[in-house]
Amino acid sequence: MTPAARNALARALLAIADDELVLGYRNTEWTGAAPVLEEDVAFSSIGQDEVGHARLFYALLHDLTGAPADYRARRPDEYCHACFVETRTAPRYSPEGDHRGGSDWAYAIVRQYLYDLFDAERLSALRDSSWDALAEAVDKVQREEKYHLQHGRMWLDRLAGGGPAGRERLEAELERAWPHALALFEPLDGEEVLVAERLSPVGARELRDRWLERLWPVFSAHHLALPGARGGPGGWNVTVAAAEGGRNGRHTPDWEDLWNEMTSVYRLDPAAVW
Amino acid sequence: MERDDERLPARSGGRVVSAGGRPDPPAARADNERAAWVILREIADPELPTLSLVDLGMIRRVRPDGDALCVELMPTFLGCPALAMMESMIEQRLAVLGRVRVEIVRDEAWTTDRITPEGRDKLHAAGFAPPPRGEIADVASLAGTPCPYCNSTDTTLHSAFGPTPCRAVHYCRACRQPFEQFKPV
Repeated sequence: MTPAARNALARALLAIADDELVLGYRNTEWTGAAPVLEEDVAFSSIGQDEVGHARLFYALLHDLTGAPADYRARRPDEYCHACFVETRTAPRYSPEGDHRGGSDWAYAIVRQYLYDLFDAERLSALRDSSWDALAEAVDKVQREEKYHLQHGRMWLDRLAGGGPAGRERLEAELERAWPHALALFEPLDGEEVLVAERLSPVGARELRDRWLERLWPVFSAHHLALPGARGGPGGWNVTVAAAEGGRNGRHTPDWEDLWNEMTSVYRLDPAAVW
Repeated sequence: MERDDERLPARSGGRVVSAGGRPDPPAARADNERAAWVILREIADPELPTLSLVDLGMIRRVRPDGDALCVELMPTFLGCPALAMMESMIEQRLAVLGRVRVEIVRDEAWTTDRITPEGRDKLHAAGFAPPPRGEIADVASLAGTPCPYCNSTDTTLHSAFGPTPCRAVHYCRACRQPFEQFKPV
């Protein structure tokens, strides 16, 4: 592997690991706060899986570069997850008793489904990576992710096909989600090398089109709008601008809050051994 | 399914002694590996204590690694919080055999098909429905899983997510009991 390819692959692994870590953390915030008990359990469980996947990708990154496997020793702008996953959706605990402030269940569902479908396409591309360690490790992740994707689909069907209240919420949240969901496909530095050397054989643009192709039948069945239309042969004309930045470390205020929280114990004593 | 521990050489009866009267290193190593499997069969899964790590098919191989013994451990679920605990249990319990190293396997996925027939029986006896064999295409296909209490198939999948990442929750309409299943991966 050339140094340029190794650098690009390291960046790609970091992006995947950060996506999974941050979304996993956000999911666990629904513990005790979801509309029904089964969803407290489901979101906690999905969150736990995602953090486990993050751990795996950080370990692969460590194998690749020998860099410290401790992901916490980074500034907020050194994380390269997409901003989509950092938005808080669960209500904040309030000692005054109004625990529902900021709660956004419909957005959580929309994000989970759109993200998991993206993740499924990303993983299936990495299954063909020319770096065997990555291709082999991805098999395990795919087996677990299947449960997440079907869970998201069940809720999408439920909200889209149920009463008008759920349907309206769903449509509004999709509208709000598109610029951020499309930014999942923000190209990473060195993408050409990764594709040319088949380390990560599918580029961001192609991945986005595959994702839209998979969303299309689901959304058509529910008469839900997509943020674009099929263009020439197999291509898509996307009509919504992606809110990019996350992959290059430019994040939203929600990330600042989350970073503070998830690294607070670590920052008390970075040298401590746990 | 081929079991890794069955790949070990059969016990030859008595320790092989070399001309110098000292144990022959390869034979001593094989003895050590056999002893390791015996101990590993006794180490309980922290979340399903009636099953051992061997019952769950989590041990891929035990092999010599320099002057140490390397145990290859396959995580059931990647986010399993008990993994670090299992690593330290293996290190502690096998310490009687000398230096031990646990290696987490990443180049091969653990699947529920690795649970041994004894492991499946123990799951059932503990009130867990064993997973169906093979990979499932659709989570909904888990509906109708036989109830571990009354064997009825008049059951529904209540949630694909349960108290731990590896369990799904079902409900039996015949005996009106909720029950859990080790979910297939």
